[in-house]
Amino acid sequence: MGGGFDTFGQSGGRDEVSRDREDPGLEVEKALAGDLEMSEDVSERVEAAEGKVDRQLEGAPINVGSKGVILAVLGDLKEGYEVSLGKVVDGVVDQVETLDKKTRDTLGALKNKYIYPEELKPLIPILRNEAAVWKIVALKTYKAGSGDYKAINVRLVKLGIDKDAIEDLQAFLGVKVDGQFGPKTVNALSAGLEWNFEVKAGDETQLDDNLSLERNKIERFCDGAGISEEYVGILVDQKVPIYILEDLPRDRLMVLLEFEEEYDFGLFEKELQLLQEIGGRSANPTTPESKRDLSKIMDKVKSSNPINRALLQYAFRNSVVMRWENLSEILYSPDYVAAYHLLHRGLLNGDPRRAIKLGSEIVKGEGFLSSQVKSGMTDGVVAKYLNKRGLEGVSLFRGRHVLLVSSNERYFHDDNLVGERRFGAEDMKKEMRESVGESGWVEQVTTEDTDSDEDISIKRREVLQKFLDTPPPMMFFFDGHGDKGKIGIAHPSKKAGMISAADFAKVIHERANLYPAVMGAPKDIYVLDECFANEFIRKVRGELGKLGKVDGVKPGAIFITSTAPGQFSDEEEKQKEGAYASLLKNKGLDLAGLDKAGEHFIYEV
Amino acid sequence: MQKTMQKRRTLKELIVRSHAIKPDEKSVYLAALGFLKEDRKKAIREVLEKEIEEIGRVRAEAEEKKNALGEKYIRDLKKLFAIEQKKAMVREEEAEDVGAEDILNQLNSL
Repeated sequence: MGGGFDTFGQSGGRDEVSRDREDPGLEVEKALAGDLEMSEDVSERVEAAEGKVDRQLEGAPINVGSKGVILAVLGDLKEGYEVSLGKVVDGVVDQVETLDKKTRDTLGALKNKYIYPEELKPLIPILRNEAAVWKIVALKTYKAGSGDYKAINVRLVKLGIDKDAIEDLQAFLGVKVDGQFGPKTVNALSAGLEWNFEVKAGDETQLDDNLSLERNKIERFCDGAGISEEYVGILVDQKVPIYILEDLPRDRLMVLLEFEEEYDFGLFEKELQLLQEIGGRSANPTTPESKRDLSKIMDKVKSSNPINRALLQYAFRNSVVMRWENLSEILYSPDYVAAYHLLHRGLLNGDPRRAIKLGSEIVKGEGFLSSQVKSGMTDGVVAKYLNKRGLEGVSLFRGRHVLLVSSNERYFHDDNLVGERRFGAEDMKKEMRESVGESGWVEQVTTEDTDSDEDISIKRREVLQKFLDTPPPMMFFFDGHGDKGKIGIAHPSKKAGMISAADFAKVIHERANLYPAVMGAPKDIYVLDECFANEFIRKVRGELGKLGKVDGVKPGAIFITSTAPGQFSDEEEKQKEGAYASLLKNKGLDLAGLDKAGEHFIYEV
Repeated sequence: MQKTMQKRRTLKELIVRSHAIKPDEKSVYLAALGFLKEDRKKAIREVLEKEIEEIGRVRAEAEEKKNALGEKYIRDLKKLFAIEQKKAMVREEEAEDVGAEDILNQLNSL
């Protein structure tokens, strides 16, 4: 019998209860499923008690009819128990739902209370203080040497805007950083915000305290800050809302500042959205949709993205006025996009000057950009063009110590080549020996058909050891399979033969420690004649990044491959004409020459 | 005592564990940690700690109720089985007595 009452079909009450509760609380219930299971000890004891009763019933000196009656009675008891249990579960679901709502409301209140409709202003700290902004623009004409600069800056300090904040803003705007608001700063700000005013340096000071402000802005600001309109300005004209600014009393100012503090917090949701959108600048500015996008990009630029900020600071370094048109022009320029991608990849030490210069070279040099800029440049493209620098004089073969690592596979898919060694063939080694000249040498580690998993594992270790021991200038030539970001000295199905990007990067890093020469010329080079080499290279780059610098310099490596990002190896298409065959045609060249020949992708990681 | 010994959860953990914050919102909160001011983080922490505390309380209460129900069920089960078994035996004995009497009556009528 065994198995408790369920075997008799008398029970199952709990399941029915669950089905009956297909209601809005179900999702919550599912989420809590793990926590709502009965505690183990009780459920075990319930089960044990039921089992015991089962056994007793089976052995009881009563007839089958009586046993059926008892089962029915006990089934009712169990059903009642499970209904009660279900009610407890329902109670938890209800309570948790209530708690969730309460928590969400509280979190929502924390967010919504401080979210301000105008997204732009909060992104520049000084602009969060609207009262300060009005003060900034209150002087229409600045008379040089009249002390007006000082006067307005004193007013700003009173509003809680200190010199540091002004300097930050000036740095952002790309104007002279002196911590003082003058015409240039104000105009740059005005242009950036699409304000319709311009201040001048003139013969005499003109105060323009009467500002036409949109009524809803004033109301919103006062409402949010908990201050009355009189503290922002006095409404002097209902038809054309004109406010006269007044200095804020100290106590009201404190309320205002407190509001601004809280306001920071409320920003995060919108700011996050903007941050998440950064990088999606694929719109064409000539379409109506994209014109709307421009305002988003404007926000993005002014958001806390340090790359954009650094680039714009540099782009506007000589500008007196930062105009909206200039901004959009720059943001959509291929140079800028290329520069952004360079810095985004952590290249060029974050130097915007070099990024914009190199970005410009990339664009002008090859004219490849219109489509790629829109879809975002690939890592490979960036790296390829980066490598146009510093490759002069780096020999391809001459004088190198070549470590030839190959897999044991033989051709099977070409009638003319079936049975021949597919990777690391003898003629390849021979040609290499000739190419490296007298000062170089070639050493090969290869797996054989007869190798067991253990042999392969030993050879894998041997590869890594020789990779470390081979003095520069080295060429690590890999002829074999690549798979999922690894390279294999045997077929990829033999896990023992796979070398991960992490291990590879460790050795590169360690080589930089052992042989400082690898950091300069002649550099080590790595030839990957394999499928999906780019995936492996990307991973190596990532791993190297994690390992950090050696003596203040990030260890790098130069990779050569015949495969474009995401492609199989060249060999797949041309049979025996793989990377190596085409490399030999250029064996006398330096890397710059090889790059010009255009048959290979050269990556510096 | 146990509570004070417990390791204080990071805000990240609290957000990840939060039942109230919907899964698609969690990434927003997590990303916000990078630039939120300390007092804002503190405000969120307080809300989430309270949430976890409350849910813990609700669960503990439910657990207690479930245990009590389980115990009661086990007691009732044993008791009811004993009663029902006894009742069945008595019922069957009475039925046997009735059967014997019938036989005697039939014999007497012969």
